[in-house]
Formats: sequence, C-alpha cells, structure tokens
Amino acid sequence: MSRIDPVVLLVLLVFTVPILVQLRTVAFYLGFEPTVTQSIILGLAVIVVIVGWAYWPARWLPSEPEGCE
Amino acid sequence: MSTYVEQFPAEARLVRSAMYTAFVALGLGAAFGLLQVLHRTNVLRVIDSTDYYTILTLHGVLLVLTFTIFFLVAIFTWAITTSLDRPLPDHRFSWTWYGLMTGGTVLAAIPIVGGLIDQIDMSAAVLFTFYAPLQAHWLFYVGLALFVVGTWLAGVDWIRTYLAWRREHPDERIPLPTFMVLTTMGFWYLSSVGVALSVLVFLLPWSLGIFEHVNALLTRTMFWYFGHAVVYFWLMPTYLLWYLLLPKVAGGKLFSDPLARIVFVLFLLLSTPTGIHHQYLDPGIAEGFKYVAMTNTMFLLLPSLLTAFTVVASIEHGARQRGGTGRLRWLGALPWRDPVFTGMALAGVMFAAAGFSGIVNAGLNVNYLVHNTFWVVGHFHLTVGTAVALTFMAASYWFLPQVTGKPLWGRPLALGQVLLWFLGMTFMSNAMHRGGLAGIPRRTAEPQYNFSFEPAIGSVAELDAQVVLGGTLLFLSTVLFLTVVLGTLRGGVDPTRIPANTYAAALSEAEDGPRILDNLRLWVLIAVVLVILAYAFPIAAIVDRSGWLGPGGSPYPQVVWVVEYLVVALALR
Repeated sequence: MSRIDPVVLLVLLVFTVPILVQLRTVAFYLGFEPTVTQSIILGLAVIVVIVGWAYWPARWLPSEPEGCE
Repeated sequence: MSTYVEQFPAEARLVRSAMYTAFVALGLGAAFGLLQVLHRTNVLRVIDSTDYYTILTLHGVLLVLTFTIFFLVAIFTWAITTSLDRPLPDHRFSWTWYGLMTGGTVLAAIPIVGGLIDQIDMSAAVLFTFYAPLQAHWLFYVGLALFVVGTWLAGVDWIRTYLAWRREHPDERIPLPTFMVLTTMGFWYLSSVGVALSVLVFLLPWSLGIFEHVNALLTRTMFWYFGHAVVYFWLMPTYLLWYLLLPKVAGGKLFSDPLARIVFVLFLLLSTPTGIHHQYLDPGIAEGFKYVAMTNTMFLLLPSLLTAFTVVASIEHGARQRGGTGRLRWLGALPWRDPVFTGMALAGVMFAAAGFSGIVNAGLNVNYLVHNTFWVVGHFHLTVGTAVALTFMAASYWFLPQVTGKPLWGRPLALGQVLLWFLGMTFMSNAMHRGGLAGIPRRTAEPQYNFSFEPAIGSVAELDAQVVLGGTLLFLSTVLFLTVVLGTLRGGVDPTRIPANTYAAALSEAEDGPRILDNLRLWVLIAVVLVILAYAFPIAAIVDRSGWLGPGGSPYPQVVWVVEYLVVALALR
C-alpha cells in the first residue's frame, strides 16, 4: 500500500521533472558542472527516492482502526 | 439537470462541428511541428530546407489560428447559451459564420500547400506573422479576411443572444460567462480591425499587383496591433475555463466573481495598446513609443497575477471541500485522477513559467538579448502551446461528453496524455529558452550555418536532444488525444454517466462588486481611447516618413539603411 494515491505519485513524479531539469542550471551557477549522464543518474535517483518514500512502510503513521474501509 | 446536448441540441451540433475542425487542425499542425523539430536539429530531414517556411506557416496557421479560434468559438457558444439559458437566435446565421471561418481556412490553406507542389504556381510561405515584405498568393489573404469576418459574425451572434436576454432581464447582472465572452469580443473587434485593414487595404491589392509595393513597417505595425491582442483572444477562453470549469471539477467554487470581472475588464483595456513591444528592434519607431508599449505590457501582469491568486484560491477551496487540510497537504486531496483537472492545473503551472519569460520579452532593454531567438519560440510554446492548448485539450474531455451525450472513453489514457504534454513541453521549451540565450535564431531551417553557438550551460547537441525528445513526446501526446476523441465518438450515447451541464458558482457573487463593472460601453470606450493614445502618433510618424505605400520603389528601406551604415563604417575604418 502506498503512502499516497498512485496517481498523485505519478503526477508528483512528472512535476519533479522540470524541477530536476532546472536544478541542472542551478548547479552550474553554483559551480558544479554535472554532465548529462550524471544529471540523468541524479534525476533517476531522486525519482527512486520519491517512489521509495511513497511505498516504504510508514511506521510512525497511525494504523487504520479495524473495520475502517 | 441534464447535459448540454439535451438542453441545446442545435447549438451542440454547432459546438461539435467547431471542435472537430479544431481537432483536425491540431493533428495536422502537430505533425508539421514534429517535421520542423526533426529538420532543425538535423535528426531526420524528410522535407527540403527551402520548404521549411511553408511547413512553419502550416504549423503556425493551423495551430494558433485554426485550432485555437475554432475551439474558442465552440467554448464561447457554450458559455453564452448555458449562462443565459437560451438558444442562439438564428441558426442559419450561426452556420453562416461557421461556414465563413471554415471556407476562409480552406482558402488560406490552398496556397500554403500549393507552395509544396512544384506544378502549382502559388505560395504563401509568409508564416503566421504574415506582414510585408513576405508576400503570399492573394487567395491566402482572401481566406484570412473571410476567417476574421466569420469571427466577427460569431460575435454578433453572441451579442444578439445577450441583447435578447437583456430585454427580458433589464435589472440583472450579466452572468459571468457571458460577461467574459462580451469583454473578449470587445477587444477582438478593436484589435482585428488592424489586421483586416492591413490585409484588405494593403496586402491583398499588393498581392494582386495593384500596388507595386507597400510600406513594410506600416503593415508590420498593423499586424502587431492585432498580433499581441490575438494572444489574449486565445488566452481569455482559457481563463474562462480556469475560472468556470477548473473550480467545479476541483469540487469547489470560484473564489470571487467581481475579481474575475475586473480581470476581464483589464484585459479589454490593456491587451491591444501593447503590440509595439513586438517591434522593439524595428528602426522606424521612436524609442518613446516603445517605452509606452512596454509600460502598458507590464500593466498586463496585474490581471495575470489576479488570475493566479483567484484560480489557486478556488482550487484550494475545492480541495478543502474534499477533505483536504494543512498548508500544502490539501494539494493531495485534489482530483488528480481526472484528466480535466490535471491537464488544466498543469497548464496553469506552465503559464506561470511563461509569465516570467514574458517579462523578459516585454522589457525594452532585456528584449534585445532574446529578440528573434529561439527563446521567443520557447516562450510562446508555454503560453499558447501549453496554457492554451493543454487547457483546451483537457477541457475537451469535459466538453465532448456534454456535446455528444457519450461518456469519455479511455480516461487513464487521457490522464497519460496531459502528463505527456507537460513532460514534452518541459524539455522542449527549456531547451528553446536556453538556446535563445545562446543566440540561436528562430524561424530558420539551418540554425547552425557555420556558426558555433556556445550555451552558458551544456552544449548545443544537448539542447537539440531535448528539443527532439520534447517535440516527439508532444506529438505522441497529440496522437493520444485524438485517440481518446475518436474512442469517445465511437462509443454509445449514455447521458446518465455524464455530469450535468453547469459551471462553478462563486463564493463572492456578482452583487458583491460594483455595477459599473457591467458597463461594457464605458470599458470599450476607454479601450478605444487607450488604443488611440498608443498608436495614433507612431502610425502618423511612419506614414509621414515613408507614405502609405512606402518610399520609392523599395518596400524594405531598412535594408538600404543598414547597407549605407555598413559602407560608412567600412569607409571610416
């Protein structure tokens, strides 16, 4: 079971793409100069982290009471 | 409560026809867009570079004139009839304007396509910005004139419907959708007069050989008098959908009806006296006039920011009605599974980015950096190419069932389509903006020539790859959209599975705002005065300097001046 609705997760991932694309620009201005390959790997890593966050069991979240649909 | 086709079957037929015409134009225009992307980046060249302008003209005319305007006349017809709860007064008249628009499109397309066929001696590779010195076959101008007259008659149709309603409801406030249509048509009449005069008085006689030459700067100025306002002609139906449909599908209400009226009044006043900001680098217009245009343009940020506030507030209201809580967690309560909502919301996000690049375009000095570069192409693919086009496509998923009585087919596919568009445009527009900053020109099949552009970040090859990736995703998204449309049309009629034909109510009603907002005569009068102030002197100066038909035998004096300056500069060396 995911932490958020899978469709909301999908929208979130799509919305992450322009942020990642622009982060590359920001990185250059901060003195880092990632290559295209490095940027793609970093982007995939961020996406994996988000997906992991969405599907990782959230122990600290209160469990649903029994009988709740 | 019932669907639109049950309430207004005759009008639904008209709306359907206009939408189908728009969709055909969208499919063709997108295919030509893909051809350009692949050609410019040298990935795949199936056309000759000499035909690039013709393909570009087809892409521009089909998408920014045909797709957008056919779709908006459909939306406006829906808005008028639904909000006034009455049919159009004369269906023969309605089909006449639709016929004029369609006939005009076909006539204009014939010489453009003729340019691709060697055996046909006609051409209209003049781009969407069809001013002199580029000259088209006269059929192109006749087609354009008929198309514009068609939109004028459509406006007459809606105004007649409104006046009939007004006679029966003398003291009521104008329903918001009707108010939006009337204010939009107010500035459309005002602005399209410029291009109509340019076409009928100068360009058409010139193409027929009646005039040997025309004043290029004058026709250019008259084009941009219309050319920026037409952007708002595309955007206002988009705003209409963001104000009336987006809050509804989000589950809430429009935050403020009076604020929406103020926004539309501001666009009526300010959308036309701004066109000269497209001519910052034109040598024949004094800097002072350009400064006035820049000031007017910057004022346009106000209604855009008001819209951003109102739409976000309306969406948040909807999310909280659906149980959303917290400062940002309410975002998760929005109906992201609904392609209508998701498409329009993502279009709004892209429009915010477009606003920022638009500020750069509008700045008199900063514009020099990006003028006529790929940056501008990136900008308008965010505005008309996403804010407008993606909103129209997403809204189609709501309108198609309304006007056909058939439930939407392939909802997950539709959701994928709007997400794919967002992704594609992210890559394509980002690369275009960055390429523009590096000086890569727009409107050319061969941007590389023998010149090496040096982007501040990455390489031109990287930017090209992004453009190809983005353009391909956008084309695939269009194919998906048309698939969903065809799938829906092939389905059976079942009105019970379609939501009722309504639009969002307002938290703050029209009565909360002053009645003067509904005084359309006053706002149109002020708009006319602003236009005269902004344009009377520049046009008088242009005509005074070069005459109505341009100086001597050359319709392109700038070239002469540039050559003279170069000669003097070389002599001084």
